[in-house]
Parts: sequence; structure tokens; C-alpha cells
Amino acid sequence: MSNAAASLAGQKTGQTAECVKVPLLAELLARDIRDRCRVWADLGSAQSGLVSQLTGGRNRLIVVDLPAALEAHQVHWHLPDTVLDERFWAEPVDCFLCWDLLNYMQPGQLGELSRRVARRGGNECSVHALIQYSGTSMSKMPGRYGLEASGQLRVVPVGATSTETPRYSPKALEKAMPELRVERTMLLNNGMQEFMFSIR
Amino acid sequence: MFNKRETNESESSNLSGSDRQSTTTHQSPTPTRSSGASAAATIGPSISIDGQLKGEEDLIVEGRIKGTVELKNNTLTVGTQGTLDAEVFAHTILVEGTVNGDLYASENISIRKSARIRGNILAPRISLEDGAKFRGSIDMDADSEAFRKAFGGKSSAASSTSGKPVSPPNSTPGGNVEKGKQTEGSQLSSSEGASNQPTQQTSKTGTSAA
Repeated sequence: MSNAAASLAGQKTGQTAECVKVPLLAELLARDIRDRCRVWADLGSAQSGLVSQLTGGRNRLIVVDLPAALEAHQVHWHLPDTVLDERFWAEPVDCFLCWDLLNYMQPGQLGELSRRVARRGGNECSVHALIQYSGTSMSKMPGRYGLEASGQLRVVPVGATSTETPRYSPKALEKAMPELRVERTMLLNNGMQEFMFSIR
Repeated sequence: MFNKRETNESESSNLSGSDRQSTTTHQSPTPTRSSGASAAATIGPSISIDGQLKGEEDLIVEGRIKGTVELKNNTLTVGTQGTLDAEVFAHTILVEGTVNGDLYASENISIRKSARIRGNILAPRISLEDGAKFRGSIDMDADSEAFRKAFGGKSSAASSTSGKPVSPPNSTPGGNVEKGKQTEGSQLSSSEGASNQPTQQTSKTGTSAA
């Protein structure tokens, strides 16, 4: 997203877009697998930055767009393989990108999601997520994210209203998602914590 | 049916009355891979096609197509009013409208912010504008089995010097619409009806001559 567009979105929501460094995501994107195609599952909305980053390599990107399902009030909006039917999941997924979506799920929904992720993920599958760490409120709908050419992540809040953040701790997330294990975490300068999970 | 209006007036004059009603031609909003000086053919908003559509020229779709579209050496543009419930094989694909189905391009697929797509996308080069609604998968692996199946194992970007895909996919049952001619098996309908005057049609299609 351009700076102008991000600024406009920020004006509408009363919150401003910001760019943050996401070291764990950068490592994930830079990881080189030469012998086969990498399968990515982006649980968020389609974004130009990620497509640009993956174009030119041997990549397959599944875009699930859970925010659209949430906005449409779908009952199982949090389950990727309910939103997208079976034919899209023929190959095991190497990387799930959750962005800030886990903040919008209750523990029960996180458990259901982790079971689906474990079922669809391949060997050495990684799951990346951004969790609200220090902030006590967040926008009521998941934000829009865009990878910049610099490798930074542009975060654009969506919606004028806000809600309380669950502020999930690593232990709370592992308890809610028993199929996943926290591999690494990193505090970001926007009050979020970057998580990298693996499948147990 | 659909056809194209070129700068060549004699060819344009060969259109039938119904062709004139339903056919519009306009400059593509973006550069298309036109052959020579001719503009792309256009399927206007009132046109609906059910079947298999094949061609050897660039095409802009502002109407509805259900079935299969094969423009193996050319560019398909799905305009903002266009709706495809179809599997598409083309050299280059530009989407500004709605697509439910799989898109295969031997060269490039561009998705504009006004696009609404659900399906698989497969091309060596893909660009997507922020704001586009997309749900499905984007396959950028020119070595993938799906790509080999669609284009005979070669992409123009990867292995051809001509910039053209090698072969089209196997044909599916149904009729052919080729070079502006409808053949048995495909269904063509116009929501405007046959009795409408040409001027009304032109105004409803909302497009202008090249």
C-alpha cells in the first residue's frame, strides 16, 4: 500500500498506519528451499507486497482472506479449510501467515484453528503470527498488512471502533493451541509480539 | 455475437445488424498485446456466452462468460463489468472485474484493485493491486505439474523465445466461438433482446468506438 493510501486509511479510522520491522517473518521469507515449491497459506487478505516478494520463486500462495469471512459474519470464519474448499489444500503447507488474526479468536477458536493447521501443515511447517502485547485496545476488525520493499511491514488499522486486546502470553497460546509449539518470539516496536510456531 | 471494429472500414461493414447492436470496441484501459494496429475485440455488457470461446486476437470482456476461454497467444482483459465463471488459458490476463474459476497465463496475470476473484491463478509473473478481493491460490511455479499440463511444459517466460505458450489445454465439450463466429454448442444471449435499436444498445454498453 502506498504511503498516501495508508495515511488516508488512518485518517478514516482515527488511527495511523505504521511500519514495523518483523525479523522472524523476514527470516521466513528469506529461507531458501531450492528443490521444490514452497506452499504459503496467507490467512489474511490478498496484498501486493507479499505477492511481489514471492513472484519469481517457486512458490504457491493460498489466500484465505479470513477477515472477509469475519466481516461477512460466517460462523466458521476462523477455519481456513471451511472458508476455502478441499481442492485448494492438495499440497501440505510450509508456512501459515496469521498476521493479527489470533487476537480476534477466543481460546476455543484457537484450538480449532490449530487442529486444522496441524492437519494441513507439512513437515517443518512454520506458523507466523502477531499478538497484541502491550496495548490494551485494538481496532475491532483485523488490520490490513502490507510488506514493503524494504522488508518492513506496514500495518493499517481498520475500523473506527476498538475492542479490548486479549494480550495472549506464549503459554496461553500454547495451552489454547496444543498442536502448536512456540519456537521464537520477538517484541516489536509497535506494541505487538511476533511469534513463530511449529507443529508438534 | 462479438467482433471487433478495426480502422479498416471494409471489415467493419461486414457486421450484421445484430452484430452492430451488441458489439462495441474501445481502447483497452491498459496496453494490450494487440496484433498490428487493431484494437481488441469486446464482448459488451449485455452479452452472455455459455460454452467454449477460442480466439487468435486480444479480447476485452464486459459481459458474462461461462465455460472455457482460450486465447493462447493473446491478451484477455476482464473489464470492470465483466463476469467470468470460466477456466481461462491465455498469454496475458488482466482482471478488473469478477472471476470465478481458474486463470492460466503463459506470461503474466495482472489483478487490479477492482477485481473480485475466486479460484486458482497460475502464471510465471503475477501482479496484484492492494484492494483486490482474492480468495484461492496463486501458483508462481513455472515447473509445476499444473503449469506443464496447461501449457505443455513450457512458459514463454521460462523457455520460449517467441513469448508464446506451446499448446492449449485439451478442449472441453461444448461449442466454439472463434474469430467472432459462433458455432454449434455454445449459447449466446443478449439481455437487451433482438428488438432493441442499435443506439439503445450502444448507450447501454457504455463503451465507445476506438
